Amino acid sequence: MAPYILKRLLASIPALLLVTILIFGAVRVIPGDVCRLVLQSPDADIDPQTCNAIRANLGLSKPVVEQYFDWVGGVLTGDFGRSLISQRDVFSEIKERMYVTLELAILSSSFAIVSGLLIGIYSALKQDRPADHVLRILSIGWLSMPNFWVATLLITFPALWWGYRAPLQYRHFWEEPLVNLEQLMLPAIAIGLSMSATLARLTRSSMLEVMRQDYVRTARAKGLSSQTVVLHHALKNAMLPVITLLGLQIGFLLGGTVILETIFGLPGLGTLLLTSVQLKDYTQVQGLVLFFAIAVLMINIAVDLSYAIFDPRVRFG
Amino acid sequence: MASAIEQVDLGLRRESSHSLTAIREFGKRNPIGAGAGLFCVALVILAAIGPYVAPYPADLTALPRLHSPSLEYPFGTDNLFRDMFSRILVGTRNSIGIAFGSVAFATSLGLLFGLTSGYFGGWWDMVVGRIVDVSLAFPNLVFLIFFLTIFEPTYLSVSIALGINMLPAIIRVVRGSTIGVRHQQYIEAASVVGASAVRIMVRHVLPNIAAPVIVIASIQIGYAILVEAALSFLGLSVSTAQNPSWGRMLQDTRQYWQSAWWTAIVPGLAISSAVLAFNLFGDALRDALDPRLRGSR
Repeated sequence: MAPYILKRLLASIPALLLVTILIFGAVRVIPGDVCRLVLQSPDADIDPQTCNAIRANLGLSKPVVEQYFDWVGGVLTGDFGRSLISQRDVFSEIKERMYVTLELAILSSSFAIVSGLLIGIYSALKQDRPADHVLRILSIGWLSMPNFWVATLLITFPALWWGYRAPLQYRHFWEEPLVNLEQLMLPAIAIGLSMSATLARLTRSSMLEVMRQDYVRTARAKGLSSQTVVLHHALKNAMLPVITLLGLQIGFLLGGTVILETIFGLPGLGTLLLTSVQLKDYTQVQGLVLFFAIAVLMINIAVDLSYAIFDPRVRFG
Repeated sequence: MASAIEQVDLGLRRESSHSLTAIREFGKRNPIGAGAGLFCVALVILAAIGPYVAPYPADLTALPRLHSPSLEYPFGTDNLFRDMFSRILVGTRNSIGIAFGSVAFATSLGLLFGLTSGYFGGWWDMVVGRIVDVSLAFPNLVFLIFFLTIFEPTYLSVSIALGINMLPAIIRVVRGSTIGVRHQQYIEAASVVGASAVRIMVRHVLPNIAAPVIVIASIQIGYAILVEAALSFLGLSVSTAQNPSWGRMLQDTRQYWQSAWWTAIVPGLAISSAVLAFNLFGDALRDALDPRLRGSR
């Protein structure tokens, strides 16, 4: 498997280069003057000399191509540059906050996978019975609800009815695991719901297809319990399209964390992105977008590798 | 001369009665989908005439504050003394307008890139494929926030941003279907008699891949409404006091949800029901137009 991983990593290099060129180019077309941004004075007259010093300091007086290679070279050594506004190291800011986003992503996708698979399998087993219809209507309804709305409802109404509020001050998992989980539970559910609806629909149709296959009938004919047939023979084979979908949903998942972190006031990458956008802190935004893109590409490689676990026919090499 | 006109006339009439029967058939076979389709049509009409049928101007601030839903104010009033019913009606324009604009943008570009890359293959197909792969690496909201930081949010820029965001999905569908018909005999026949590549793509390939394109476009409209709502909730869209949007209404009233439940429920339900209608309609279209795709997604 190692040569396959290496091959995939090498194959993702052109994609990564294209990503860096896109991000770099996009940030360069932003209208407006960097000096005014750094000095945070939009209207006052600025001394041209301080301005030149700022530009030189940011490397903006060099030719654009050189700036690009400086930036990419820096990224390769873990140096994403400095924030325009706070002057802090962009990557250390990202490192500090990525655990919140990572945890939220893991929690919401686990919620989505568990509930989506359970609902999908149940609907497939009860095909065309009332339970199946109800679950299908519910899942298409979930898909239509904006996750930020669900999230805000989850904050508002428990507070109104039962006076329940999640602890405000954010605690890291390694400080107070229970408080931390309590804080992340609601946003994880809000993100996970729409994902679990899509998963449930796909699991259902994929299970229905597999259940009609000969080997499932053979397994039943051998006299295996229906639990064994469903879990070992059918489910394992129905998982392939579901995993593909999971890979495609990673982008939506991370996009979802951006808005939900903001609503729940969690100090993750999403809040960082929105505050940097509001402050027009372009170096920070540039670093964050690149970080997100790299993360998605890597997760997709991991998803591809996980095919092997579910389908022994898939061999890498 | 007269008979020629008559024939044309007859032909047209037969055509229209044919499509009417098709619609009636569709409604009978899939009443939920047809109902959803009607709701979609109503939304589109509302987007055009919303400001003219709303009982109050959207920015009128002379009403009672946070009045619960009543006969006079069917959806209640918000914290800034405005009628929510009128604001929902007027807000249809932002949500539906941007959704249609972005899907139109994405579908036309998607057809351009998908048809050419699927038809010609080769290096062009590789380039397009690579760009699609790369664009999937940007989480949707991250890309949109990034794009709308660089370009001020206007109708045009938000529609283009959303369009670019859904472009990869449409390119994939168009390209896949084009490859599917690329080697059919009627395409080969057309190229043997000397039809140009452009003519073949427009006159022969396009009509034969229309069904999946229509289906994906209608599903993307639901997606666009959802994402536009998220963007305007974050303050990155085009809503103003006179020209509200549903997502922005949720943001504006967030502080008052506990004391005035309707401010939370009404705009959220507006978004959800619009998205639900386009999703159901898209599903029904898929079943009607392309039975092979049934149950996928």
